[in-house]
Formats: sequence, C-alpha cells, structure tokens
Amino acid sequence: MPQCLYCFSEVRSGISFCCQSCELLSKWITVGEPPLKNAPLSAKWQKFNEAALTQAFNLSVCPIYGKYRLYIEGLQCSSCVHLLEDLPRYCADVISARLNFSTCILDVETKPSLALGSLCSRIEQMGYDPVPLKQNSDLEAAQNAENKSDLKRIGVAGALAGNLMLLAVPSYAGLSGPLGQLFQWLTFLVFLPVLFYVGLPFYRKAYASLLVRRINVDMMIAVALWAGFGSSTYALVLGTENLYFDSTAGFIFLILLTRYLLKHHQNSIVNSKNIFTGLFENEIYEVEDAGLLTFDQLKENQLLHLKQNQLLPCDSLLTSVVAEFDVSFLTGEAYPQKKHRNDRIAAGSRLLSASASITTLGAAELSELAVSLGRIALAKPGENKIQTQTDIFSHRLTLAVFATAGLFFLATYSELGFEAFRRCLALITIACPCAIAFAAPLAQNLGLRTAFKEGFFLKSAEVFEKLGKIRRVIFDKTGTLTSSHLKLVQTFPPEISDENKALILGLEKHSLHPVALSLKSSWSGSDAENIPDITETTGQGVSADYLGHHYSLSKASGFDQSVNTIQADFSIDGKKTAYLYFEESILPEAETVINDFYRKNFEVMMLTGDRRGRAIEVSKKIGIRPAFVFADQSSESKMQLVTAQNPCLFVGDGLNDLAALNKAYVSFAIKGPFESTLQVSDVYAPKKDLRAVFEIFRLAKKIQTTVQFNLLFAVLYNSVGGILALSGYINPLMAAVLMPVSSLLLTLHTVWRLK
Amino acid sequence: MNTIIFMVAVALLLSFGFVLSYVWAATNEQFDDLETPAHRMLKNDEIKK
Repeated sequence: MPQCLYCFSEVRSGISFCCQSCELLSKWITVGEPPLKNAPLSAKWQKFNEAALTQAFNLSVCPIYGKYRLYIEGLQCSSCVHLLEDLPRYCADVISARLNFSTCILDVETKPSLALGSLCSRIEQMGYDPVPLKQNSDLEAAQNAENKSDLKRIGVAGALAGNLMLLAVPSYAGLSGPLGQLFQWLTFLVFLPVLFYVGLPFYRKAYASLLVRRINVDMMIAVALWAGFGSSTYALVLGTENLYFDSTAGFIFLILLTRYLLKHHQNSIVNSKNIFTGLFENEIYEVEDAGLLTFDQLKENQLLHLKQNQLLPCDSLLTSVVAEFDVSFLTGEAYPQKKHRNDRIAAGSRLLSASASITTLGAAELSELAVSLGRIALAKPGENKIQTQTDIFSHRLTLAVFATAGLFFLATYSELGFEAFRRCLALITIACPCAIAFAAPLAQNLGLRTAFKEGFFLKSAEVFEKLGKIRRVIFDKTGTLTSSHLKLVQTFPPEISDENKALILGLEKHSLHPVALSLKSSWSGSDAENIPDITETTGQGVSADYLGHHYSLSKASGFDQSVNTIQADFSIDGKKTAYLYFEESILPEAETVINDFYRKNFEVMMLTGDRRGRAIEVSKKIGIRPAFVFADQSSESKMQLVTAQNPCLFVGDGLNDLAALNKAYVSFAIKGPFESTLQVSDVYAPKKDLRAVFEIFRLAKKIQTTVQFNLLFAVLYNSVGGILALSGYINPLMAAVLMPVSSLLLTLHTVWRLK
Repeated sequence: MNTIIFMVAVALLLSFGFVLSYVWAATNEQFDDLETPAHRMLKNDEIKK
C-alpha cells in the first residue's frame, strides 16, 4: 500500500500526500515556511470583514480582540493539527489556535488587526474550508452539561460497584464474626452514594412520570434500588446474610452505562429556535442611511440595496422598477418570477437580477416565513408523537410486574413473612423490562448507523417503527423529483457552432439566471467570449454590442407558462440564429424509485406548487398516475392534503414543503438550498438521491423484525424468570445477575442481525 | 486483623481519591477531546540552532 510522503499514513495509489497539510508541510521543509499573505479576499470572505458580521461572530468578551470558532472541513491526519495549531507562526496577527480533531472545531484568538474574513481567507490558503460558528445555543450548552453529569455518575457508579463487589467477597467466602460484620457495614456505607447521588436521574424521571400518572421503567428501577437497599439494610441490622448492595450497585451502573451509550449514538437534535436565523446569519444587508446591517437589525420601512443571489430577509415591497426572484423554494414554482415596482416579495426569495432595491414591511422576525417557521418549530416536538410498540409493551409489562408482586406479597406475607418480600424483589429485578428497553433502542440505533452509512440522517429511531405503518408515499415535484435546475434538451440547429457557443456563453457569463446556469453546465468544455458591457434586462434576457454586431439571447415571445419547456432565442443583429430549449431536469433515478414503490403496492402521489400542465408532463415521464398528481398547491394546501393522507411519508425539499413535512406522519427531506431548515424533518438526505427513500423502508422492515423477535424473547424470559422468582428458586442476587444476562443475549442477537 | 482494617481503609481512601480525580476530570472537560492530544504529541520539536 503506498504511503503519504510526509506522515506515512496509507494513501490510494497515484497519490503522494494524504492531505493538503502534508503536501504544504513537505513543501515548506524544502523551500522554507512562507508567512501567509494578505491575498485579495473573495466576495465570500469580504463580507465577513464588515464590522457587523465580525462582531456577530466574535466570542471574545473584549470586543477589540477577536475570538472566533471555526468549523474546519477536510481534516485528515496529525499534520492538519500541527499546521492549524501553528497558525500564530505563519500569521502574525493570530495569538493562539487550538483544534479539536474529533469535532473539527478550531478556536482562534486574534489581534485587533485581523478581521474574521481575512482569517478565514488565510486558512483557506492552507487548503481548508473554514465555516465561522456563532456561540453555542442554550440547548447545546444544556446537552453538554447533561453529558458531563451523566459521565460523572457512570464513573462514580462503576467505582462504587467495583468496590462493593470486592467488599462483599469476604461474606461470600463465609467470613463471619466482628470482621465479617465490619465488611457488611462497609458495603452499606459505600452503597449510600449510589442511593443518594447515582440514583437521582431515576428518581427525577420516576417523579415526572408520576405527575402525569404514568408508570415507566425508571419507576421500576427506583423501586428496585430502594427495595434492594431496604431489604439489605434490614438483613444487616438483623445480622442475616441476604445483602444485595453489590448486585444493586452493579445493576444501576450497567443501566446508566447502556443508556449513555444509546444517547451517544442518537443524532443531535437541531435547535428549532435557530431554523429561521440559520437561513440569514451569514448575510449582511446594505441599508440606506444605516450602512451595513445583519438581518436581525433590520426594521420596518428601511430601504435595502440587494445584491445578486442575496436572500430576502423581510417581507418587502420592490422599490426598483423591475427585478427577477427565485421563489422555487418558497412556492415550488420552477421558473424565476418577474416582479414590478410595489409588488410584494416574501422573505426567503432570492434575487436573480444584478441588483435591486426593496423597502421592508417589517422586521425579519415578523415575516410570514419567520412566523410559519416559528409555528413549525413550536409544533414539532409534541405533534406526531406516537407511543412506540416497545414503549407500550414496556409500560404494560411494568404494570403487570408491579401488580403481580403486590398481589403476591399481600397473599403470602402471613405465610412467608420476609421471604415474601425477597421473592417480590427478585421478581421486580428479573422482570424489569430493561432488556426490552435496551435491545429495542439498540436495534434502532444500529439502524440509524446503517442509515448514516447509506447517506441519510434520521432525527429519531422511532421513525423505523412508524415507517412500518405507511403504505402511501407523497413526493413534492420541484427540487425533489426534479433537480430545480433547467436542462438544455434541444437546440435548433441541432449543432451549435463553437463560435456561437462562445458568444452565448460570453453573454451569460455574469448571469445567475437558471438558463445561464444550464448553458454553463451543458457547454462546460467551451470557452466564453470576453464580451464587455452586457445588458441584462430582467425577464427578457441579455444583450451586448461587440465587434460591430448586436448579440442577444432572449426569452421567446409568446412563451406558454403552462408547458414544461422554456425557449430562448439567440440573435445576431436582430436575426434569429439559434433556438435553445430547456426543461426542468428530472432526477435520473426517479422513474426506478417510483416503479419500486408501485411493485411493493405502495400508493404514490405528487404534490407541487407548479402549474398542472408541467406537473402532468413530469408525472408521465416518471410513471406517477395522473389521478394522483395535485398541482397549483400552496404551502397551506399541501399541508392540508398531507394531513388528510396520513399515515403517509412526505418527501420534500423546499421552504414551501415545511408545513407539509411537519404534518406528515413521517417526513423525508431531500437536500435543498436551505439545509439547516430541512434538518427538522424525520429523515434528512444530504445527497440528492431518491433511492434513499426506498432504502429506508427496507431498513425499517429489517429492524422491525429484529425488535419483534426481541420482544417475544423478553416475554418468555421474564415469564419463566418471574415464575421461578416467586417460587423461591431465584433469590434477588441471582435475579440481579440474570437480568443483565437477558440484556446481553438480546444485545448480541440484535448486533448479529443488524451488523 | 489490624493489618486488614488498615489495608481496607487505605484501599477505600485510594478509591475515594480516584473517584474524586475522575469527577474533577469530567467537570474540567478532560474527556471532551480524546483524539487531538494523540495527534499533538506527534509534532516535531523545534530544531534549536
């Protein structure tokens, strides 16, 4: 296997270095270390040098100095750590740099002379892609604190359980007399922190469930913990040998450890409060008489000068005469929308024209988009909440075990005395549904990991169980079944000369219009003519006078909005020379995926905000039955339709799909331009590949089978164990050993099935 | 017997010390990044001329 020439880690054949750091460090060994230069900043980093944005990202308590947190993409090996932490050596304005390799977070302190944009640009020169981050949200801080607290409890529980087992050895070996008693009292003392510190989370959860009059597993664990302590203390005072301090502590330690591992595997939850701010936090806006402001500083009646490709932060009125906006992710309209002076433009629209002025109608947080996203964020946690099969089973089993133990105690106390209590304790310990509570989440978490490997993230493992009930799949069209980009499908004449291609590309070189993007992509091998002074007329096209001729590429007159094809005419001196035809590009795998769903007897529907004519054309190409195509849908009507079709899986990508995604029994978001927004969905696929939608059902089926087997096993194990415990064949100590054994068996089975 | 009592007391004190040091480490973010120090230690020392 070939090795990296610098760090000697393995690399693919034909490659000399494993990463850019190794290449750079290797070069610097021979030519010496050059300091990082103040290279001209790209537009991306220029805006981060503006005071408004630099301050927003500066975490330093002293506003003069800079303290920035950057997410660094592309970390590979130790050289990356060395190079990035040596930033102060290569860059005199950097005071310190500290990298966390596991989280890819670089903390940098800078002198006042270095702004954020320049810092990022210099890191970019080193071959990395830095992403500035803001202060951790309250939710993240709370999650970190909880994580630390869990770690401490596990460590303490493990240490105490280990010591308790050692202290119990003399008693098991038959030691009696004053020394034997001393060891027994020591186990009592060492057990107290388990009772009053380690057990706290169980008491809290048990109390919380009591408040809502429900019985859960934590209540059973809390009862087992106190019952174990009570019976052992009673035995200790009486001088008998039935002490269970060690087994109870071991039991609590194992439960805490398993829960921590499960929690560690769970996907991080997106802070719904930041859904809206995430869209705009890296944008700054030029405001008349107020300079440059971030989105949250904007107020009503301010005149904003937008640049091409900027996202509108507030609901506004257009002040310019005319401008074109991309609203596809708000409404599902695939084609750019032309707006005139005083037309209302919704927040979330993207400017396609070179520039435009708008007057804000209110602050960003009052926009319709912010309000609807806020509603979604608030509604998400409670709605769609289902009780999973495992929850219901655990709940019923817990009730049954408590009831059986109580009845047994009442019926046999007069006859058996303290033995009745011991048998009940053994029953509660062995029949504790921990095995179910561990094995089902483990199956689901292994499923999450498989899903992650296959390229999609699940917000919660419960999704697997919900998918088992779904027989109807609804797809959004624009951006989900289609790529939301135009595709050059035909030209007349069929072969465009290289000379004309160069002229057309030259006319379109600065444009971000979908037609321009499509041409640049289709003719990526051709060079563009260097045409100066190009005029882009909003909604019409581009034109220029060049070398004595007038060239133009304009939208065909009489263009029918209801058909799927868009036509552009290329003219030289007013004479039409070429005709170009574009269509919405359908994802190549769409037809196969739809057919797969039909083969498995699923009902497939399509929803779109686009015109019916275009929707039907797309549906015919991919095989969705026209009766199940719903066009001209607003965000609200999509939501109502999806609600009526529940339980269904809704697959969408745009902001206009958010309400529907939120109401769907299971929501599946495909990669779109607003990724942070779409991460609120149950399933999120960062790669635009529709096959993931079908794959997730296959995976869910496999997990369901495994979980059902686990439940069946748990019923049999607990029934047999419970009967033996009540008959007196299993004492609480044996129960405390047998309970983790069943957990282990189920865990091994789950890992074997889902490996 | 006295020796056993002494040894048990020492063992308990030691384990108490380890538990305390573990709690200190967990509180002071010593387990937050388990990967970077391993890379950091591989860095070549500065060559002193």
